Amino acid sequence: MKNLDLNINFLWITILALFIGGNAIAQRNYTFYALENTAQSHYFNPAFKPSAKVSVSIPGLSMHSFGASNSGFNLSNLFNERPQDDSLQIDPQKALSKMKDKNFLTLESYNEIFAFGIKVNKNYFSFGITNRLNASFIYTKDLFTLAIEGNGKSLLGERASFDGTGINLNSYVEYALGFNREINDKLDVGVRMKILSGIANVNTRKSEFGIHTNKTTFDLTFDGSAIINTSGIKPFYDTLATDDYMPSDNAYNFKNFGLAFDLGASYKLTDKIKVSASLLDLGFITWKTENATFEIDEINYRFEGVYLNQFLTDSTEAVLQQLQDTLKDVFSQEESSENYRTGLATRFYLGGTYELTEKFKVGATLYNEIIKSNYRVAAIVSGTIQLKNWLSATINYSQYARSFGSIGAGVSLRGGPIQFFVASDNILGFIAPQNSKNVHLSFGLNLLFGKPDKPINKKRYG
Amino acid sequence: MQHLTSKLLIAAITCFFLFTSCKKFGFDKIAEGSWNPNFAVPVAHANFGVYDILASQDSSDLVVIDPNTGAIALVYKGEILTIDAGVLLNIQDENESLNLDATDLNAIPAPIFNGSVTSNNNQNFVFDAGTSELHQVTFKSGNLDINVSTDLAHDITCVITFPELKKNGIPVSTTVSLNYSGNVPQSDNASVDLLEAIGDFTLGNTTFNQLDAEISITINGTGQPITGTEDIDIEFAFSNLDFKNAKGYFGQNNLGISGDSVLLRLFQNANNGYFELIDPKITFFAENTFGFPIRMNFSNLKTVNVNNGNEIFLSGFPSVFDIPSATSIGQTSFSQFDLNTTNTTNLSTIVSSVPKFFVYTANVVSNPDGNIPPLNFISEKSQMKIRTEVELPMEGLAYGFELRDTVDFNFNEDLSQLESVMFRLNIDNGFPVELKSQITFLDDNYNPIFSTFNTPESVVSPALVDNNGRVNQRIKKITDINLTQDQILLLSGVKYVLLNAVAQTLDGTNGQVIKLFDDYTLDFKLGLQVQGKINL
Repeated sequence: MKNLDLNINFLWITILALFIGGNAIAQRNYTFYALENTAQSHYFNPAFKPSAKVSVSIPGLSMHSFGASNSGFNLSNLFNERPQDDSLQIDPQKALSKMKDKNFLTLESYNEIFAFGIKVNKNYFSFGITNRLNASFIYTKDLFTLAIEGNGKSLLGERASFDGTGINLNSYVEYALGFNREINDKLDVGVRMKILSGIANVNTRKSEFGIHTNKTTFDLTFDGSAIINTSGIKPFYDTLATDDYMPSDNAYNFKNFGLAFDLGASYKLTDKIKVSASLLDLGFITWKTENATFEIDEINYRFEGVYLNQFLTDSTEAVLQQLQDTLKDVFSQEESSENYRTGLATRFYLGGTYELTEKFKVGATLYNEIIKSNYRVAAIVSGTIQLKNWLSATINYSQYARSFGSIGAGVSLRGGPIQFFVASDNILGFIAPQNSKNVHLSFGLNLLFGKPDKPINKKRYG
Repeated sequence: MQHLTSKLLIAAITCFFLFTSCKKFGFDKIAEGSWNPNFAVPVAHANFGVYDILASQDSSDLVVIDPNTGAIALVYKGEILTIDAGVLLNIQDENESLNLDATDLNAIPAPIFNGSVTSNNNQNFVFDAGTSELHQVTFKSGNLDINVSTDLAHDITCVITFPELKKNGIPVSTTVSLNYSGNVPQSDNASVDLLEAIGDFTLGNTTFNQLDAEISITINGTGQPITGTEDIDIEFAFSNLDFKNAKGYFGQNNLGISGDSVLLRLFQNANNGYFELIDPKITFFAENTFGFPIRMNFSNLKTVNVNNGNEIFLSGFPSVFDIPSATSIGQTSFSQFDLNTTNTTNLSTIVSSVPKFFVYTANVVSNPDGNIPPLNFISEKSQMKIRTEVELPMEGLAYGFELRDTVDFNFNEDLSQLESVMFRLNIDNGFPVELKSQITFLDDNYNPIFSTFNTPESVVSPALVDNNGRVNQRIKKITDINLTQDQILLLSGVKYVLLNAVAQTLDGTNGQVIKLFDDYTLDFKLGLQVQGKINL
């Protein structure tokens, strides 16, 4: 459970880094999609499998993957270089100009606790336990516009829309059973069934807020409503909760039970061309413990300032008290503890590779994800080289999260039964963080036994 | 193919370094920046009706004088005279002494006297009630103390009776008995409570203020001698006399009204200007529970502007206000005295110089025609009240009507991060009145630091009226009051704010008459827009 604590710490550090530094990290693991010779590629397409007969991931040394992204802006969007002395001036307005109406701050961590895989003839069986954390903060451009330039400029006479703004967090442990079969020389298929035990959740089910500033009178009209489900959060603020509450207990008690499937297939069109597709995390979790659902009813309140007529007859304290009571009334929330169900962040890959040589192939991958009914896509072109049986590397170029020019790279190398791998979807996130909207890093060790090297078919290339 | 692979690898590495050879981000190069938010917020709003604007201090200042049209008037009231009964009638203490010698007592000298002898005498009392002539009094309080002393060495019985001073219809009577015990002189006393006693002070309708007592003294012999030189002294003391009610004649008294004033709150903060009303009225109301008539003689009626000393005298007014007597004890006579444009010559213009006060001088006399029947009456609760109402119907015109007030100001917050501040006034006016305003910020010596406008600026535009002077179209006006950064920084030295406004009725300078009705309103909104400059 140490991994869980690591995740929580990492969450805060990452959010802080994103807002302070404007850095952007992201993890989609589409680089891994090209590293087929690692056992972990099976997680991104169940139709993929390692060459070795047996693969084992040892707790602590297994795969760890962290990533985050901010689609709104990167660090360089926050600064302007002064021509006279090349110093950097903070320019929030510039960051604003880069934002879309709706922007995403996402975080994902993937910590493999234990994994085991075995190949039996044309079948491959796997079992894995993984700690997963997905978090996203969806914010609107108007939210930042309000904070940066106030409501007296471009928002004057307009409705500052915070529709859709919200936090979503999904922390759970998955227990996965995988099966892969080589149907024929061309077609491989695979499936992973995952039983999930939810740890904590924040689910912004509905969030529609706005503030309209009257252009003439500056009257402020607040509108909106919200429903936010939470699970496993309440004990942290509820004074009646027991002090010894440990969210990590939910990692294995299945009180918040979930079920999910990964599906995948790969097909060799020709000797050189292979296409593949996978659908990941198609499933749900039903949240039942330590739930709190907050519901803010439809708000439509216009603030016109202090009502002077009352001010002239009552004391200042009485007027302010009534204003406070009114605001409390308007923005009151109801709390309930009903059970609720959330879907996972479902994603799917579509990919194709073409073998230019026996050691080098190029590929194109389309990565797709759905965050709270928002569809996002990444397009990746890659090149993968297998220099030696024990060494392979891949490099890719991707466009994701309105970030142009992300370059991903990955390498796996093996010494004896130990395979080390490291991959990033955006290596520029480490080299030039100011220009990146996402950062991602995956790394780990596998133990491979039984013909771990994929034979290179030299015959085809003479 | 291996050659191709190598080339591709070299190309990939070259591309990688090209990408990564971009200029590094230098955190140490981050210089100062600034956050320049601009916030616009509503500060206050109000909907002012006629009561809020014209009678904010006291809603009873405003009355609807015509419920059908909603026409209104300002009515300023003043209590100008209250006379209580205690001022008019005060019955003084009355003390008398009576000495009866042996002859008066029918006591014939004898060496030994064992017999009994009785004598009857009278004592007259004259009460002092100032100028009042008492005929009949019912006492609320009063004491009668009687002390009898003698050097006769015999038993004495002294019976004192007041035939015209009765309690429950029975004459007040008291007995003082002296029982000889071997020593002379001997004395004793008696006391009578006069509560609810009714006295007739006319001695049978022949006079006033007088009362008689009958004194019967019986001497019962003890065997001691009567020398013929003995006597009896009787002392009478009426004290603490207060009446419940009284009849008589209470005199022709000057009840002493020197003068008083009514504050015209409409003009309280006004300094200059011209004000003309179509049909003002001044009414005096009297409530009299005294049983005698009262006359009020006006000598002076005027308005006074205490700012410039201007006085405008009312002329051509009737000067006598006769206030009739109440019909009986417990009743009230109501009467009023009207001054209007028909019985005066210049009433509509005496308010033209925005006066602060309406001032009157008069004297009040009771029984102005002297002592004529019927008899006066008075009770302990009798009172006469005179109050006045100055009624200003809101129909007329005004211009140059200047309102001025100075308020304390103390703002010591750090405002250096404000680049500019704008106050926005949104006024939707349903009154046919224009208001030009100027706000001046003053230092602690009342010297101007800066003003919001170069010249007074119209912040309220007048609503338009029809041919009858009634509003038929509201007018909106937006006024921005901008404070520059320099002015904002000067606010820390501001100690007072001088608010100055000049009001004018619609086209008032050209004689346009407007009317105010009870459904007129003015919508007010104040917004604030702040441009900040916060160095990061």
